[in-house]
Amino acid sequence: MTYTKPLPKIRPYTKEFWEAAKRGELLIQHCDDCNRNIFYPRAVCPRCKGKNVRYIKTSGRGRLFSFSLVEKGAPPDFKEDVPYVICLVDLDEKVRIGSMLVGYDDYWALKPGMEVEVVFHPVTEEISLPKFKPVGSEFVFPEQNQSEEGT
Amino acid sequence: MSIKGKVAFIGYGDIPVGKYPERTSVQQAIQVSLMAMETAGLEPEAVDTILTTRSYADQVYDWGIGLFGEEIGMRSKLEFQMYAGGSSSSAMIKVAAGLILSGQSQNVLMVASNKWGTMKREAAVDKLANLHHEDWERPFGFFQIGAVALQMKLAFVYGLVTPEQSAAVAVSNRKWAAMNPNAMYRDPITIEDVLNSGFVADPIHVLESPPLADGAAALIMTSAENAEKQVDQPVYLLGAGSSFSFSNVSQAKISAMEGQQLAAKDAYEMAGLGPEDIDVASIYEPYPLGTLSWLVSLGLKKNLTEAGQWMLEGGGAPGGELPVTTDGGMLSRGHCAIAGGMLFVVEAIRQLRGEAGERQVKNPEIAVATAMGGVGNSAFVEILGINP
Repeated sequence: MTYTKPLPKIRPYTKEFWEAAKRGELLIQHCDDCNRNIFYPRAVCPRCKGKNVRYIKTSGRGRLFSFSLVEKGAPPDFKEDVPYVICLVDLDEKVRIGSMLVGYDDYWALKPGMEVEVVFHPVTEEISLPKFKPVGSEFVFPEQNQSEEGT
Repeated sequence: MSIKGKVAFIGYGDIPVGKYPERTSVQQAIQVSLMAMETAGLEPEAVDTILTTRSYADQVYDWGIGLFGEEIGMRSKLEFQMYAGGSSSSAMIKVAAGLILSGQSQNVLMVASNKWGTMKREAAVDKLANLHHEDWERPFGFFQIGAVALQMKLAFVYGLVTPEQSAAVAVSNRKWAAMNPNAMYRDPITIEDVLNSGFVADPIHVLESPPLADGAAALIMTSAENAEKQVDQPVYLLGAGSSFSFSNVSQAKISAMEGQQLAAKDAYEMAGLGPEDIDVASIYEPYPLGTLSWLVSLGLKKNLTEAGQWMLEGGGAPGGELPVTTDGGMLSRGHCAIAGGMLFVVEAIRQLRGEAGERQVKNPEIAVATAMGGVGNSAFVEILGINP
C-alpha cells in the first residue's frame, strides 16, 4: 500500500535528521554560538542568527503541552485517520515539536504535562515520521509497506 | 508622528455573504468597489491607489497583475496585492494611511473578494492546510482549525472557560446576524445546538467554526482634510496597532492572546483612549474563544472566565451592555476569507455612520475593530471614531 499523505522534503540541512529518524533517533539542532537548542531545523540559528548549528541526539522524551482530537475537520488526505490526535510536545531538551499522539487508551484522560516518548512511523524508505506515545505504552508502528493501520 | 485623526474612511462596500456560485471574485470586487465610491461620492478617476489581495480561488489565479483595475476600468498610479491572511485588510489600512500621510496617495481603494463558499469544502480545507509547514506540520495531520484547537484546548483543560460560555458566543453572534440582511446564517441557535454539533477538532464544535463563504468588501480612505470636504460623516482612524508572532504553532514565543494585547496597547496609546471609551466592538472571531480573548486583550474584561460569563449572560448580544460583533461575524455572517476580515471594519464604519439598520447601536462615537491572521500569527486593532 502506497503512502499518499504529504511527506516532508529532504533538504541539505535536514538530511541528517531524516537519516537518524530511520535509525530510530530523534535529533534536534544545537547552536554553538548562543548555546541553545533549536527545533524545527534551520539553516541559521533563529535566535542569534549564527551559522554554527549542528545536530544533537535527544532522549526522545518529553511532556504533552497540548493536544486535540480531530474529528470532522481533517484535511482530505487525513480523512482515513479520523479520529486522530495532533499534539505539541515539549522535549526534555527544551524545544517544542508538533506531531501526532498515538498509543493512548482514553483521549479524555489525557492531561497536559503527561510524559510521552517518540515512536517512529516508517512511511516510506526515506521517511520515518517522529510521532509520540505515552511513556509506558507498548504501541509500535508496523514495518513500512505492510499496513497503514495503527494511527 | 501620530496618525491619530489624520486619515478617514469615506466609503465602504459589501454584498451578501454566502454561497453564490454565479458571482466571480472580480465581479464581486467591482460591485463592492462601486458601492464604496458611491458612499464616498467619489468618481472612479479620483481613486489614485488600489490595494487588492489574494482571491484564493477563482477562474483567474489571484487576479494576475493589475487585473482588477483592468476589469473595472480604473487606471491608477499604484495597484498592488497585500497579503497577511485574515489580517490583510488591517495591514492595508496601515499602508494606506502611510501612503496618504506621506503625500504619495490621495484616495486609496482597498478591496478584497473571496470565493470560499463556492470552492469545494475539501479544496478549501486543503488549501488552508497547505499554509502549515510542509516539513514539520503538514505531514503530521496539522491544519488550520487543528492548530487553533491546540492553542484553545488549554483554556478548557484548566477550567478558564466552560463549553457553555464558549457556545454562548456563537449564540450571541447569531442573534446579531438575524438583523443583518447580508449574513449567511440568520436562524436562531441555542447553546445545546452548539454543544451537540460534534467536534471539528476538540474543543471547537462545528457550530463554533466558521462557515466558508463567498463575499467581498471595499474601503476608501483619504486624508482627514479631504474627507471633511467629501462626506458628511468621515470615520476617522484614531488608532492602529499590530503584532506578529509566529507562523507555525509550535514556534509561538508569545501566545496569540499576548499578541492581541500588544496590538491593543499600541492602538489605545495612539488614540489616547481606553476600553471605557468603546461604544461598539467589531471583533474578528472565527472561533468563540477568539472573541473571549479579544475582550480580555482589549481591556474590556478582566480574564477569560469573566469574559465567558459576561457573554453567557448576554453582555455582548443585542440589548446587552456592549454590542459585540454586530454583523454576526465569521461564525454567522460567514467567513469569506480576507474579505471577511475587512467586513469587521465595514461594520464598525456602518455603525458609526448610523447606517446599520435594524441592528444600529444607539449613537456610537468610538468603535474598535480587530483582525487576526493565520492561526493567531498576527493581531491587529483599529480604533475608529466620528471625531478626529
